[in-house]
Amino acid sequence: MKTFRFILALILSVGFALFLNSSIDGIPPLGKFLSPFEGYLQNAQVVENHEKLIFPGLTESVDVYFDELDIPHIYAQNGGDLHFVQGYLTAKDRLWQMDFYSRLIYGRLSEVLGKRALELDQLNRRIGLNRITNTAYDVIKKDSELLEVVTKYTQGVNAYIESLSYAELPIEFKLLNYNIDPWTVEKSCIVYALLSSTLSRGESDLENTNALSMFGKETFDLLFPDNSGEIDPVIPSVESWDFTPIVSPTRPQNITFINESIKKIINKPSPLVGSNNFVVSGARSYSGNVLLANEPDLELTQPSIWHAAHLHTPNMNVMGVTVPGAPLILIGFNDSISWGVTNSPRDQVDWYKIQFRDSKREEYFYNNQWFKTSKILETIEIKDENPLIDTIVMVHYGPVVYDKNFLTESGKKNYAMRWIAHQPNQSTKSLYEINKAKNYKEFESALSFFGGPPQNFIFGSTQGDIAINLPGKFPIKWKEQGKFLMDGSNVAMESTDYIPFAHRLKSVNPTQGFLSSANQHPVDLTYPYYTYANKYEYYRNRRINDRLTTLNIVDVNAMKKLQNDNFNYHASEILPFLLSQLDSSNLSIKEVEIRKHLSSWDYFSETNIETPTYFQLWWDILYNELWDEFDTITNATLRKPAVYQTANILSTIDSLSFFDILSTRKKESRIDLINLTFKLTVDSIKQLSDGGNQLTWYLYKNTRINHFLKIDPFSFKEVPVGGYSNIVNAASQKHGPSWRMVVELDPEGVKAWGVYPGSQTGNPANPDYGHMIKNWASGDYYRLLFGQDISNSDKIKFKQKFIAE
Amino acid sequence: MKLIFRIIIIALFTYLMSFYFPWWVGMVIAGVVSILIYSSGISAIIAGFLGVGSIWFGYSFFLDNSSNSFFSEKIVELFPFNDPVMLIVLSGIIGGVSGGFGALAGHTFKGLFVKKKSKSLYS
Repeated sequence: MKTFRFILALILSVGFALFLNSSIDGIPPLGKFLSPFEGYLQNAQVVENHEKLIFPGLTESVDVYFDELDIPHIYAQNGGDLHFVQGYLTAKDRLWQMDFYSRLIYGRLSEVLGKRALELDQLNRRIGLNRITNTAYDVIKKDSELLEVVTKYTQGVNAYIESLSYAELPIEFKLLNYNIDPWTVEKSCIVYALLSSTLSRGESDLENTNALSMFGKETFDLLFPDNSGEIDPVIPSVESWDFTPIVSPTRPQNITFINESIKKIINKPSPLVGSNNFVVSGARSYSGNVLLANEPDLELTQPSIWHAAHLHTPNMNVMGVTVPGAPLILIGFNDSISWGVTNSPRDQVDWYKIQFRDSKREEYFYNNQWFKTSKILETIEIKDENPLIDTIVMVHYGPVVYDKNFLTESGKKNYAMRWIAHQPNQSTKSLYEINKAKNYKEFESALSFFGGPPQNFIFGSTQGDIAINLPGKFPIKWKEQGKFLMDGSNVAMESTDYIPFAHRLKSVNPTQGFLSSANQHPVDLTYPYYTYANKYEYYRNRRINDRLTTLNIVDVNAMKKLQNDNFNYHASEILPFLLSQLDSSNLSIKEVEIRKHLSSWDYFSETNIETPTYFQLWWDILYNELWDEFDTITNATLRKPAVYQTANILSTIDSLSFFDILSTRKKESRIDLINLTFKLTVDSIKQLSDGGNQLTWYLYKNTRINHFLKIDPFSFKEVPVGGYSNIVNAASQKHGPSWRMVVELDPEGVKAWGVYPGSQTGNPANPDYGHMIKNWASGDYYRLLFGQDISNSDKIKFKQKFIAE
Repeated sequence: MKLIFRIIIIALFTYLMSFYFPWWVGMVIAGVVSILIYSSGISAIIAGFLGVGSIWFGYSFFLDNSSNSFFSEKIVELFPFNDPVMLIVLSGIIGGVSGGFGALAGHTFKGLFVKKKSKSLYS
């Protein structure tokens, strides 16, 4: 009896401990989580900052100065020590985010998030983000300097990881109930795959194939033209090109693209990703110094995608931002130069239909012969489930992403992905050299190593040079090659040559005295090579160029003001036309009132007014009703025409079958469509305000900065910021300016201002979490502390010494 | 008196050991104390509950207070109640129950031997 009593008590005790030690249905283990000794309350504690830390991994002492923004200013005697400390400090601020990114790239999120991340993991392994990263490391390994950078950075991250107890682990590990893995040199190379996946994977080849099969070429070209008039490209028009182009391959005679309907298409980066940069020459600036501005508009996340640092050694002094996990500065400045990037939309992905010999998929047809495939087995561990083993078939183009095991139902649709990002390249070396470049010549030679993702590199120097360059790997293609799904067995469909670096798009010190880019067309039709992308910007670029042309003399404040410009170019072009189509004889009192607001609007989508909401509601309803025919198609994924092309069609074509609204019996004309949607808009405004909704622009659009795990209390919503997509201040719902930087290239000492919507710390328990969001929203900047010697600045909050053992 | 003494011993050791061992160390301590200092079953459970529970409650309260509840107010949004104080109470209860279970296990373990010994030597 007593034995039984004891065994029962023991079972109860152990059972209780096990129960509260494990995570059930996504609920964190409550015993661990609520224990004051190791649970969430430990994260809320102020971490004691030691003034001196000793590490065996260092060769000499390193001084670190933390400024008011918690940006570390790292002063080391050599590169190895520098990156060791950088790795340590980045991990201290962003360890969980780094682990998250590495799991994203290696397709290992399901291991900790469970089945909900499986499709993403499978996709990322199929498109090969893991293989791209391993290739990047293989290239780095051959260069002893770069190898030292990533090795030391990795050691620094691991030194931090080893110093942690469970109680000190970031809160996300505790919530998801898993432990940190050691950092690796490969993980220090993930940034190339991470950025390529966001920036060079945008394409619509299969959607185009669907649309072509469905509508025919004439309608396709109307809805999705390569060029739409006023393109205002990145490279200002030139009289002639200073090179003799390689003869482009000719478009094969009687070309036919594959006629196919594809139901499900892989997830692709959001079309709202974009960026602006601009540079003004000394001749046009108030101080006579070159001024440079850059802001990448990416998904707004907490922790922020960017982490700022100032890196100093006897032969380098560079400051700016980088992605946590990457040791080199991606956007920034040094004592002599500043650079910034925006994405250059250029088709970097082509899809080829593959014909296998039989169901074994060991051979495929190409150039009238059978070639051998190879296979990769990927084992994806899934939390609380059996692992998934995925077989990826490889052909010479790349991985067969779509096959019977992924997204397509039958065994007949096998599509291989040819992605430029798969090819080994020296982009890391390029960045390394850019960080150290002292003038335009060194910068240009650094760019010659750049392999992508395609960026508009804007440049300014203390010597007074300004430039924009579009380096990268661009296949030479015939017109429309790669715009649609292609026959993988036909050699004529394959592109083999690349545009040489000397033939790249560039502009150096143009007479106009400024340069800019905003994801628009790279160049006009005079460029001897075919350029294509599925999407270009048409508004932000024109606004920036209009302002820089109008402003005769530009100062730092004008640069900041332009970055925060809320002019809605799109509304300014389409709204007068829409209003002119309204039938005045048939308007209610409320409709007259709304029309009055809209017609007196100055087109600035400012934070605290309602008119931008009225316009956006109308546009969204109009856009949906105009393209409602697309919603009826369920057997193929389509994309809808771009905003610019939609506005273009509306204002220039008076009769088109798409103008009909399907939900009504009547056959609507353009004027009916415009009038009817206006009435729907006013109804919807009434409904919203009757329902107690705020129509103030920032509340209606609701710019939010979500935590990666969409945890509400760790996210920020209804951020009071103006602008929208297609506006220079591109703060839409979940995307926006992720780092605003303005640099004055004063030869007496480079000055810089910056702000990002987040904080250096990624710890939601830290009262500073997200502290810069307020200034970011209001368009205010922080003056960045920079120089050869900052040790005596009153902006320094704390000093730390890393001592070699 | 003996009860208060046991509560203090459990609380003190739970506090000291929790910095080096996982959260369930209080359970083990309550069990060991119940073995070393034998008492009635109810008294052992009360000592385990209050010994571990008070330390969990007290230390949670202290940490929450020293961070002005800044983080507790966020974390509480993940729970089905609204008041951060409830997190501290819940922490105290979990600590207490684990201590109680540990004490019960210890007490019943000791019981196995006490019976034999008391029969053969002292009765």
